[in-house]
Amino acid sequence: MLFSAFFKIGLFTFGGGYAMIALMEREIVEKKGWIDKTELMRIVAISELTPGPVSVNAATAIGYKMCKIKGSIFALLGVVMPSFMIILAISLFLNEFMTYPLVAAAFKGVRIGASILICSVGIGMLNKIGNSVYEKLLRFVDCAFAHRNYSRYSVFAR
Amino acid sequence: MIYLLLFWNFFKIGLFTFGGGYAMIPLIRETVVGMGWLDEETLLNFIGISEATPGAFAINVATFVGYSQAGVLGSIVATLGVVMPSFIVISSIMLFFNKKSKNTMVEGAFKGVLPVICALICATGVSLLLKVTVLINGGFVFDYRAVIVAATVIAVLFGYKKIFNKKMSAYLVMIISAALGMIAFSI
Repeated sequence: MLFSAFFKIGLFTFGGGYAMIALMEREIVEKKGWIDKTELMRIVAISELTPGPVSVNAATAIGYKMCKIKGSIFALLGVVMPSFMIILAISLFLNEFMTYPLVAAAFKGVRIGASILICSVGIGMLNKIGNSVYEKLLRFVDCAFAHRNYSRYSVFAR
Repeated sequence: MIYLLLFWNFFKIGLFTFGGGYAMIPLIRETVVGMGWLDEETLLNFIGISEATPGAFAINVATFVGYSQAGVLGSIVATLGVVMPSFIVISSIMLFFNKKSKNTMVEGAFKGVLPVICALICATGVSLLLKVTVLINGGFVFDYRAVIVAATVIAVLFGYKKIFNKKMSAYLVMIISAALGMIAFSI
């Protein structure tokens, strides 16, 4: 029961964690009535602050609320399964796919688009973060370090 | 042995990333390229593919890299590794903390990490972009077609925001980039 609900959620969300949360709200709060909206919001807040993808965290939390550890396991499996299966399928065929020159050309464009997307996410975050001088300096230093692949250490330093 | 490596490295990825999706890319890049599991080209390709597939990016990457290194079992091990930290942390929180007061402490920690995450993402984005346009294979190569595609994509991003007043969905960006790529690099 939990598994199928989360499987559906895992399957139908494209484009990132927050879309999944909206879907969760519709399915779990409105349709199934397992938890109410405020509870969902609280769980989402916790899910954002804890390590790991938001969707995985939220699914585990809601699953736990419903059926303790067993529930969290099933919900987790449910939300992970769709992407797991799809990516596995893609992996099987990807290399062969890439031998077509048109596909290879398309992916060259995709690489450019993806890197630009990453930049835009980063720049978007720049605007959201507080603007104190300290933070700007921090960012500059971190950028320099990150470029030299010390990212692991700078996360630790926080 | 590879299974242990996969599990452990993805466990670390699952453990050290806060804030979802793109925040994980710097660490994923470092781990995956550092271990020689993927090259940056393939990683970027995969980021593009992920935008069109359902599910969390971390899970997608784990499955993909796991499979490429050690088949289906590898993908299972890697995926389990990446979700374990979430599972453990969330279960512990649900088990022990049921009060709202605990949130402020976690929130504070998160706010401190945010500038770092931002910096990492920016640095990653810029270095990757440079690598696909002007810094291919380590040397300074001016691939004018790549630069034109990049400039077009950026223009489209801005134009969309101006005209429709909202951010373009990542999926759309990928489709357009792929189309532009097909045109630009087939000629």
